Amino acid sequence: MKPKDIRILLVEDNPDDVELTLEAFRGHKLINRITVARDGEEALEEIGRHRTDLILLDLKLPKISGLEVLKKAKSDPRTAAIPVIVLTSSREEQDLVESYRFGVNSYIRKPVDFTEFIETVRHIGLYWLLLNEYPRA
Amino acid sequence: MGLSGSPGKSVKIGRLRRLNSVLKAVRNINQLVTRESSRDRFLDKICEILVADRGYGDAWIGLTDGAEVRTVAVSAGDGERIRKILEKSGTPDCVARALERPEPVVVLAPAEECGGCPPGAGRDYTARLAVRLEFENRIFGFLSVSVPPEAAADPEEKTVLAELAADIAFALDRFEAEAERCTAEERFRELFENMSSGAAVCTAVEGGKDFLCVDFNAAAERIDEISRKDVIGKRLTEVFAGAKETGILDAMRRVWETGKSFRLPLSRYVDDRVSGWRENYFYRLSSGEVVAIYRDVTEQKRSEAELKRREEFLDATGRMAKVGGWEHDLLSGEAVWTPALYEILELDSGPAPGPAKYLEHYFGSDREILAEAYRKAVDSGEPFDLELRVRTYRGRWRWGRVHGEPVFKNGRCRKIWGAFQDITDRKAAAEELKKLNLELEERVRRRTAELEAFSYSVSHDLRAPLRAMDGFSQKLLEDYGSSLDEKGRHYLQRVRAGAQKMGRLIDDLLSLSRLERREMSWETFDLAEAAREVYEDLKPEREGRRVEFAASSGPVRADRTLFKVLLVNLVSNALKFSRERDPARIEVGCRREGEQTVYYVRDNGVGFDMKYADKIFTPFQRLHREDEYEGTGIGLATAQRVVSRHGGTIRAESGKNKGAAIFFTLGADPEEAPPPRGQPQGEEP
Repeated sequence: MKPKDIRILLVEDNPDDVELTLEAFRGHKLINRITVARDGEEALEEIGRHRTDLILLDLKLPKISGLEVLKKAKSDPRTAAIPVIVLTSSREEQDLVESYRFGVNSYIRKPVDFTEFIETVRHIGLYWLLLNEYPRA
Repeated sequence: MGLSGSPGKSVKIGRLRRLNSVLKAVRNINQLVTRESSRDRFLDKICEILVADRGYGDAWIGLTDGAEVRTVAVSAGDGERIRKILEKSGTPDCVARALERPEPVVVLAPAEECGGCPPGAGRDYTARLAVRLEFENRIFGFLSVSVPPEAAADPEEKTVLAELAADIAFALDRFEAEAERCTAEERFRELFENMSSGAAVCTAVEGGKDFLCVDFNAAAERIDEISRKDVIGKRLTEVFAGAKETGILDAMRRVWETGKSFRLPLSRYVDDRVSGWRENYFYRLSSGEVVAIYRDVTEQKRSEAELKRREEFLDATGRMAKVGGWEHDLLSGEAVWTPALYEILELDSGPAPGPAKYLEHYFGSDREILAEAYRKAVDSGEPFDLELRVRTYRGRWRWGRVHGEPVFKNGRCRKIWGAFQDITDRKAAAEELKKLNLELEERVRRRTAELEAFSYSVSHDLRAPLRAMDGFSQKLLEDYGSSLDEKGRHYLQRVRAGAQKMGRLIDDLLSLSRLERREMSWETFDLAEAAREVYEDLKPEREGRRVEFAASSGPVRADRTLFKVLLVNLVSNALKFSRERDPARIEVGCRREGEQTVYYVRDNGVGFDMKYADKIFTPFQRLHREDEYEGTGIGLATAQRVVSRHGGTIRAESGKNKGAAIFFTLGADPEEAPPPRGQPQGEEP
């Protein structure tokens, strides 16, 4: 699968973070098809409706929490294979533990420093979009 | 000679003479009776009188106790001869015969007629007369005299002798009575002296207004601590100043007046000399004297009082502590309760319930538990100590701690006794405490949840705007940097620096609060090992520097994660403030100081002024300008929090440009801590 074909779902309610995340992807020319969901409900609707190859998931979301989204996505056989990367400000141990318990593929803490953030996004892009092999649908 | 047997004298004269001598003898005998106090001397003198005044040849008196006859007195002269003869031949026949009849026995020719009879004295006194000494049907002995034969034959002579014998017998009776009286008196004197009670004999004076003491025994001397010579002959009121006040004087007067004995109930006698509890008894003698018999019962009274006091004390403490005592007699089926138990179980009076009924107070399963324990106690001697619910006689429910101990005798349980403690209050308090604890736990849980929610939002929501500030500043610099001058770009850099700083602050604060919430898990590990791991983790902070790092070994008992957080903060602090040094020297070590281990992290950095030593552990407190040494000012506060969570202390030592050392101790693992004070812990040091 070529990077261009990869469909990313960014689940984030904070418009600043949405813009900065998109900016970070853009900066590294890894822009694929990024869909943004503004809350947990939208996120679940989106993965139910369209093919999604990678989910970038914030935990603190209106309506349905990120952990809930993760749990549902991973427990539904149709969406269980989608890699989910938690991208959050939270550094709480319990969030980390819960996320892994529900089957998260990666847990990344968003740094305040934008330069660092861009670097992090670059790594995500490198690994998940270029190196990782996906099962054929 | 009164009893001259010479012929030729007229009978008349003879009779007159004889009468005279008889009268003389009788007078002398009677005088002797009143003068002589010794019986044996009296008898000796009688013999002399009979020979001298009455004119017998000899006189000989023997006494008998009914079985044996014993010579007691003989007249002088021939006396010794008679004694010897009597010793040889025993009691002569005439004496034996005389003892058997009231009238005198006449022996005209003793040597022929009477076996063992001593012959008369001299040639004229060849005959003997013997008569028994009798008074009021009592035979004391006999009198034997030697007389001329014609006198022996004279009936008148015999009558005179019988009368003399009667006088002597009377006198002997008097002697015996006197002897008896003496013995009795002696006996009573000894009794009086040796009785354990005090006794005083008094005579009334001034119509019973006062008494004179006439006798005072040894016990009385002892009780009243006074010698009898200071009492006898003195007025009662003079010697015993307290007699009036204690009612003794009144009682004695009453007894003296009425003749009725009187017991003065237990009373306290007090005067200047002695004091004590007395029991007095007074009675009047036939002589009119009043006797006081008294005992000192001070000691008895004191023990009684002490016993009573102890009983009251026990009772009062029992009531206060709500502890009662009980005893079941398994043979009689009876029970004894202390007053406190009556009070606790609200039984007003009457017999306490015995082994057959005590269970009725208990409730449901508690009743079965007690019945089982009671049975075990009776069967196998096992004591019990139970906490049970009991219903009082007024129907109230109480919690009781019931303690019982069986008493065995000859292999059988005879009684069970023990204590009953009302622990209702304690139970209620424990219940209340449990409730409070649950409430408290719930509150803590709620608080923790709130705090966690707060931390969560801080962590999440506070950082997002910072990220926006930093991110868009950066975008501004990247995309529009060319249209800004140097100053504009500098401002944007400052915005970014501020946002990043705030991000670090938030992170540090969150870790500090996480320290508080973390569950402690104590383990033992090596100091040097932990220090090296920390030093490795801090590699980025010492990039390109020359650092001499030393860590000494030593056991640490702590939460390993928290301990490492502590070391990270201390070592990174040391690295930071020693960065001007080449080489920087950092030492992690420990040493024993008395009972505890003191750990330290020392550096050769810039140090600080000791006057700020107590400030450096306060969060956000900085001692250096931020453009000198970066940091959030939370590192040492974090270190202190870790130390205090371990129950230890922390302090800093330094001097400007002299390096710094942080010393800390760790408390004991609560799981391994010794039990609280007050429990026996072997011997006192």
